Amino acid sequence: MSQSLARISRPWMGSALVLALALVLPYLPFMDRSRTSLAVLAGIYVMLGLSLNLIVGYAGLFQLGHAAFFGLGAYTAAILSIEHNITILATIPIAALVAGGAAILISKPILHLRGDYLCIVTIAFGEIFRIGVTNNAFGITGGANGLFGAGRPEFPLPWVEPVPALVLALVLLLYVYLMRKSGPVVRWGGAGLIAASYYLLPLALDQKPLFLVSIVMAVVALVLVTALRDHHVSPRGQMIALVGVVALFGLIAAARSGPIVTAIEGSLDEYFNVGAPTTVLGVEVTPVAFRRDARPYYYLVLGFILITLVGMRRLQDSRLGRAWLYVREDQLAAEAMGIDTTQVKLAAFAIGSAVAGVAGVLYAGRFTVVAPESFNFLQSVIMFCIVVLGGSGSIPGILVGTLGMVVLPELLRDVGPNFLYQGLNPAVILALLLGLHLYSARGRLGGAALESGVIAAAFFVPPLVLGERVLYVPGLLMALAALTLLPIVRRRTGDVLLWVGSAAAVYAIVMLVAGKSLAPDLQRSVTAFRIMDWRDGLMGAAMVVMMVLRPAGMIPERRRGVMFSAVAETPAPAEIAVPQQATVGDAQ
Amino acid sequence: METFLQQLINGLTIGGFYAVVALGYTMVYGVLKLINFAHGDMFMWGTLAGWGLLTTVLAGLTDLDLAAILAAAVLVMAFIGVMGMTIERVAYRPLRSAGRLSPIISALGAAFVLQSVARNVSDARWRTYPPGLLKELPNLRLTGSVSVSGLQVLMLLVCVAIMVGLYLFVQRTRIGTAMRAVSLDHNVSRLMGINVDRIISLVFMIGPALGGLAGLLIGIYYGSFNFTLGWVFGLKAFIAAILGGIGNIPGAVLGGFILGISETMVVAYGPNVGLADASAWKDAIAYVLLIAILIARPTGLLGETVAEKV
Amino acid sequence: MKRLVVMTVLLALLLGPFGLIAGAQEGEPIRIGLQGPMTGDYAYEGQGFEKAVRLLVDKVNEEGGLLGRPVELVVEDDAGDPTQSALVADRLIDAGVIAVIGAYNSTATEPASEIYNEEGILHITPSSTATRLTEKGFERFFRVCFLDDRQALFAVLAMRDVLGAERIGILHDNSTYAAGLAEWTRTYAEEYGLEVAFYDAINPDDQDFTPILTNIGQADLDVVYFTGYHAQGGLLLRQTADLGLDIQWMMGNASNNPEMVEIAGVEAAAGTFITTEPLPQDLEYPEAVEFVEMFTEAYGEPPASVWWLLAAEAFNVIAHAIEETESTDPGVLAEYLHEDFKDYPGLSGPIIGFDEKGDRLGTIHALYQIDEEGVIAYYPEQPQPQSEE
Repeated sequence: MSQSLARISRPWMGSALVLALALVLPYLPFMDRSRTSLAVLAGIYVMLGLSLNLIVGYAGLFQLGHAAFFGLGAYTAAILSIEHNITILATIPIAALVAGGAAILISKPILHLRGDYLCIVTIAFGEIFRIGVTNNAFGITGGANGLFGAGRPEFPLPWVEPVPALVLALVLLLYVYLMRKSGPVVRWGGAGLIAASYYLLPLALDQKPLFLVSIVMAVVALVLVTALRDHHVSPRGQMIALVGVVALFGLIAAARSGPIVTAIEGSLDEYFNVGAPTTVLGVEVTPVAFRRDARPYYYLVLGFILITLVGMRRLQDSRLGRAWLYVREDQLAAEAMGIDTTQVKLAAFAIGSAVAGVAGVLYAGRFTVVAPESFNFLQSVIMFCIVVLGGSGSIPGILVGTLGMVVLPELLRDVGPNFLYQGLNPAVILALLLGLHLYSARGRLGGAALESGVIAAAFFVPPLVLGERVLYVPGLLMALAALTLLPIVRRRTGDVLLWVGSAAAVYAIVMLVAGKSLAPDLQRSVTAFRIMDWRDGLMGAAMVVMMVLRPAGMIPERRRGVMFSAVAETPAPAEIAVPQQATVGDAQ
Repeated sequence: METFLQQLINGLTIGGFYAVVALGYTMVYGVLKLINFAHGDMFMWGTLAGWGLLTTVLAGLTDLDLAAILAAAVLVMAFIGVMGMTIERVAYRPLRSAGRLSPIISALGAAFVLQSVARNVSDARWRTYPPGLLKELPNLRLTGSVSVSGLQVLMLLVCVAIMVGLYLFVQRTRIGTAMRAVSLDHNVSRLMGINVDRIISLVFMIGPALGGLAGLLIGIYYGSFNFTLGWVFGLKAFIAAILGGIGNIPGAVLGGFILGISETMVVAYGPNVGLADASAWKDAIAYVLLIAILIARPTGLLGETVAEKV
Repeated sequence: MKRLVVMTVLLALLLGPFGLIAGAQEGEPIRIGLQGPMTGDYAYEGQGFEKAVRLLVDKVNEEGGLLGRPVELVVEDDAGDPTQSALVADRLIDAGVIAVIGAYNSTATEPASEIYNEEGILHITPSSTATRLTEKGFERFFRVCFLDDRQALFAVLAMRDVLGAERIGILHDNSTYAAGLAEWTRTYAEEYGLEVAFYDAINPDDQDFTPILTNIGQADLDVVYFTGYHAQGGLLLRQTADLGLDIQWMMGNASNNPEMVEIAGVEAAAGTFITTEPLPQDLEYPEAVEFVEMFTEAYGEPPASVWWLLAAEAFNVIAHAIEETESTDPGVLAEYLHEDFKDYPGLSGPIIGFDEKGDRLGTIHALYQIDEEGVIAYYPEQPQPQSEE
């Protein structure tokens, strides 16, 4: 734990920004119902990305069958919830065990395989899983239609005894454990303070819903004090912060207890279904279920992502985390150092798969249908791409990868056929294109500006003169073609402006002459164009382009100076393990 | 016995197709150590291109069955060959030194693009070849009720010819020797005066061109296809290549036939396992076979153990 | 700091598209949603849905709309995938629809029906036959197609009484639809004294079915009933002919598609029986005939799949309910459909009504045979329906 404040403070600012955005996201003005749903789905994929990152990014193992473990979790949750009426969040430990256990069973005999062969075997396992559930294996998977009606997550009403006491006991245990190396004042005094203030308000004001505030307070206090301790703030500082938190929550709750209680009860009604009380283990519990509204579920998923993230961070810094790094960088050296490489790889597979299983539970709880096609090879590919496109091993990379592979393709739905030429859109798109051109033309800005001007003129004149907005569409194609061909022309002739000028002039004249008669046909074909038909193709093209431009991913993992820190690109583990394939340099 | 013979013939036909497609995977892997995920879709493009040619440009030639098909074969092979070279140039060459992860993504991306375009070209419908192509070939009746259609024999012959030809090409010619050299070591090959880039381009022309031809044959043989054909068939062919030992031409052929015949036999004699019928589990059994062989012999049946040093 | 700026810009860029596109606005028209697979493996069916429904919407609007308000059709693509279906259902709700037609396959219909139920939107599926869908007590969920068991009974009677078969085979493709129909057929066949001597499944991803056909050829069956989809049906017929086997095929309604004949080739397809809802041209209802004429005129070919008709049927049912109740409240419409909607002259035959679960009452299956020209023709001899049990 020798991280200095200076080293981590800056990434923290970025993380804090992202976290803040994630927290307010569902309430931003453009987040309607479907986009919030999409955010939930994206959150599930972020978890999948994180879990696969453990296998691919940290341990350097190829896994193209991750969807199977996602599916195992989802099917486990659905079966338990449908057949045995277990509330779906309670199936999480079982689903994680099933997925992780299956990963251990499956991967044990195959871990010795070389990179590509491992990749194939994982594909095979993924397919076997899909075929198995499609064939209604053991008569419990519902065949091709899958399983219907997995329950929405339910939980007991958070302020009816014994829930508050249980939560407090959990928090205190965790607190006392985490603070085991601190002095008795922080350890026992802090625990006492949390416990006392926890019960103070709800009992004093006789408002049980205030327990919710207490729970939040206890968790905030726990997290804050641990964070301060990790950043070497003195025990006194820790205590001051603790008292501050308790006082702050106490003051707010005491001053505004009425509105807070109304708000809690109101939002409970809005977002959750309060069911009939049932008896669990002799205690009466009122179950509360998620409504269809995606916002509460969004926060549930966000919570799981945060827990996963914290877990990953800790793992990374642990003995096991360092062992993964060694194995990834140089398996032979790792073995020579006494690392049991098989065990280490097995651990990566098992933990990653277990987390994927948890993501599967969240999926089943949200979508209520678990069907084979949600866990096919394409899904495995998408997960793999989330990890690699963003930058294998990099956590911000996973966010970017999810946005690219899950969110953007869905948003394409909004790009209607007429999107390209409505309102200011053509101007904005052209401005983006030309901006890119100017940006990449360092050192010859004057020439680039002139070229841009000519292209813009040819782009705007025909539609404006003829009053046919649809002519912006061929204009965009023209601009795209011109900008793509420019570098080639420059290399061949040098006299770029003349070339661009004449080509643009020809285009403009042709359009001015023929535009009027072309417009109806053009309009028809543009309207018939369905962008969703091309979604996979666009995704594929983006995958190729991204990889060619940035082979190490969008936001590559920052190497932590263990070894080979001079190697810029991610060297493949298999390649290092096979010295005679040192093909680096062939491309030149 | 008669059933067995008939099923063997069925299996040989399927296996022949797997084998030809597997050749493309194996050649590329041999020289580049790259799993060319786009190969299956290039093969499907062969079927698609053949359909396009035979239903439009060459449609008038249906009287001249054989001429039309030969013309289609040449055009399809040229088209898919160029397609393969282009994909190599655009999606693989820039990544040759970029580790193992990036080319996999790039290859998958190329496969997505090919499939998406094919889906749109074919309107996502099943497409049918003109009826009656090569139909007048006689059915050969072997013993009793066992029959081989002339088409089956022809397909098998073409497949075998392709394999033998390719094998001789790689083993006996100068270019073939250069290919083998490149597959052993790029740098040393370059020192020997081999133009490595050109050899790789050539491999990316020959493999897909043969795949495209197989695609055309499949179109003629089965009469209909849709755009997902490449994915399913490609994955199977890929398994065949690995079974036999990827990078190894006779291995790919062996793997193709083993896979085809074992699939058929599972359907023919597989027990009803109670969960579902054996034929529904056929593909799963192919994958289990793959895993079993890889565990027992990590480099496949005929694979050389050259690459494994750890 | 630089990282922070980069992150902010990146996020702004990525979130930008959200803001650019404004949400739907409340307006005059009655919005009716259509969700189906416009892309993906079932794209042909989903696009057919849209063609058929769009035709009727245009016609209604030309005639002045419903209750004096224009009808706006909001189409969303679920690609047949449950995850996308849930997202699409939310989009339709955002768009303010009062009723939704769709989805194509049961897997996609299920998550959407949950959402529509919770939002109180009228939901009619034209083609999802999974039994479970109507067993959840959703009061505003209906279907205009029939459940598997009625067709199974019809097929068994046709095989026994019309074809005089004794030993039959059943083949499905492992999709829940086909497997369900096959299972029901086996049940009824045993009940009505037929011997099921062969029962197996094919893998719809395959191209080559010769191994299983060889098995069927050995089994010496009077008739084989295939319950899967037309693409595989066509391949089965063709390869049967290629192998020189003599098998009498009978296909379920998922194979009722001229494309099957095209794939198989006329020679191989001729003589094959099909059990299906009657084709519109064989219905004497003027509504059906008129619709087929309209469709042919608009798109140059008659509707290719029975599901397209049923999608149009679903729209007609909604439009009829709106006009009869003079209301666009989904609750009122649903109540009307449950209580007062009787003996409606549908495009796919008369709709006697809906039962309390929302399933269509009655049965209208008919036996067809592919003739020498490859036309799917009404078979002169039909099985006598069994009396109500």
